[in-house]
Amino acid sequence: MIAGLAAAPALLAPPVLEPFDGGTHTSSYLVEGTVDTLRLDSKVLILRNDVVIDSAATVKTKSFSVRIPLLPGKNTITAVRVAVIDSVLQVSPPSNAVHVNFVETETFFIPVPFPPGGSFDLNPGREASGATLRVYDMVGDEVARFENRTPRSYYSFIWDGLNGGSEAVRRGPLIAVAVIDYPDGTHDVRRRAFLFDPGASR
Amino acid sequence: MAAAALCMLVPALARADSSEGGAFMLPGYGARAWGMAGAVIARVDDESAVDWNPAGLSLARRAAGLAYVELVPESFVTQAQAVFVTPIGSAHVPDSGASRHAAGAMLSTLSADLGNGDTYRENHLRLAYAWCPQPLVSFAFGGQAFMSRSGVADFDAWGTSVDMAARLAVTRKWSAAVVARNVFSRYSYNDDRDQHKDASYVVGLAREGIHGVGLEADMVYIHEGWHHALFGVETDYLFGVLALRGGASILSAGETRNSFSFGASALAANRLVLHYAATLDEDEAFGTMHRFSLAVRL
Repeated sequence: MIAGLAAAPALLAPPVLEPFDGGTHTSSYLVEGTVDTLRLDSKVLILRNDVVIDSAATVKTKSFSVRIPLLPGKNTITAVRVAVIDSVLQVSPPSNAVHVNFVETETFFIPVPFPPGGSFDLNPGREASGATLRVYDMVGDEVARFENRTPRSYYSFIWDGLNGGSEAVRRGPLIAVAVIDYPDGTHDVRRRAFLFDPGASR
Repeated sequence: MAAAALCMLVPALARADSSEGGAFMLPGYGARAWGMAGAVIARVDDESAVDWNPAGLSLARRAAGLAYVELVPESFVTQAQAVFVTPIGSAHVPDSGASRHAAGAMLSTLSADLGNGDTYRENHLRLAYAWCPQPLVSFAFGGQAFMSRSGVADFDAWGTSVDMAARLAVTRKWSAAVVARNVFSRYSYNDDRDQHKDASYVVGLAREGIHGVGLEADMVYIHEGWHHALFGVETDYLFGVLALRGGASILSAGETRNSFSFGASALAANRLVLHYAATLDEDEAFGTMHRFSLAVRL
C-alpha cells in the first residue's frame, strides 16, 4: 500500500512493466511500460521497494519510460496508475513487479545475444572521469567505438549495430573492450566476449 | 630496394575502415608466424603454411604441430589448433628440392565464455593441397568447413570456404606470394539465414639470406582499402638451436593503430621445435597475447 493514497475499486487497470531478465544492473534502470488507455488526468507512479520514486505522464502515448536510480542490493520496481475520477483520486492495482539487483562491485553487463539498440552497461565501482568502449571482431579489427568523458559512477553505451562506416554488422561473436579512466590518473581495462545478432529484438 | 618501396607505399594506401564482424574469423596458426606479426606468406616453409599460404606446403617437411593462445583471458576466449603436413610421393623439383605435391590438414577450435553460463564454440577443419610444377612457382588451394555451437538461440551454424594461393621464387633470395582467402564462402544459421565471410587478399615480398636474416613485407586487403600492412624479420637458427624474430602490424581499421610482435624458437634434436610469440597492441584491444606452438618433424 502506498502511503497517502487510498485503496479503491479497480476503476483503473494496472500498468504493465517490461520485464528485466538480466539479474543485475548498474546504478540506474530504465523502467519501460504501457497503460491500457490514454487519460488527460492520469499519471503513472513508479515505486522502488514500495516507495514512490518518480512518475510518468500517459497523456499522449500509452507507453512510458523513466530512468530511476537503484539502491544497492535488490530493487523491486512496480508502478501504479493514478487518476482523478469524479473528483476522487483513484489508484490502480500495482503492476507486475520487476526485480533488479544493483551490484556495487565492478561489473560490465552485455545482453546475450546483443540486439541492435542494446546497451553496454559499465559500473566502474567508483567515480570515474571517463570511459571508452570499443568493439572488435575476433581477429582484433575494430568494429565500433564509443566514448563518454563525463565523470560518472556508471556508463551506458547504446549500440545501433552499425560499424564505424555505418555498415550493418554481421551476426557473430565480438569482443567488447572498456577502458575506464579514474580521476587519479589510473585506468582499468575490461574485456568481454559477446554474441551480436542483428535480428534479435530488445 | 623493392621491400623498401613496398614499405613506403603503406601510409598512402592505408585508410580508415571498420570491420563488419561476423562468425568464423580466426587468427592464423602458430607462434612462429605471429612472432613476425603474420608477415610470412612468401617465406612460410613449415606446418603453418596450411593456414598462412598453402603454396608453402611444397617447401615443408612432413610435420605435425599444436598451437594454443588465450585471445581474451578475461572472457576465456581461447584458440587451439592441431596441424599435419606431408609431401605426397617422392617427386621433388630439381634445384629447389620442393615437393611436386604436398598436402596438409588443420583442426581449429575457438571457445568463448559469454557469461550467464553460456559458451560459444567454433570448430574449423582446413584441408590444403600444393602443386609445384617447376622450380619457380607453386600453386595451392585450400578448402575449409566450419561449424559453431552455443547455448544461445539461433547461433548454431555451419559453412564452407575456399582459398587460393601462389608462391613465386623470383630469384634464389627473393620470393613473392599472393593468397586469396575466402574467395568463395557461405555459412547458414539454424534459422536459415545465410551469410558469407569477407574475402581477403594478401600480397607479400620476402628477401632471404641477409647475414642469416630473412625479411618480409605483406599487405592485406579485406574490403574497401588496404587494411593491414605487416612487416616481419627472422634469424636463422643460431648455433642450430635458437631463432629470433620480430614484426609490426599497421592496422587501418577504425583509427590507425600499430601492434608489435616478437618471438623465439628453440630447436631440439633437429626434430622438435618450440615456438613462442608475444603480441603487444598499443591500443590494448586484446592486450598482450602470448602464443605457444610445438612442432615435430616426422
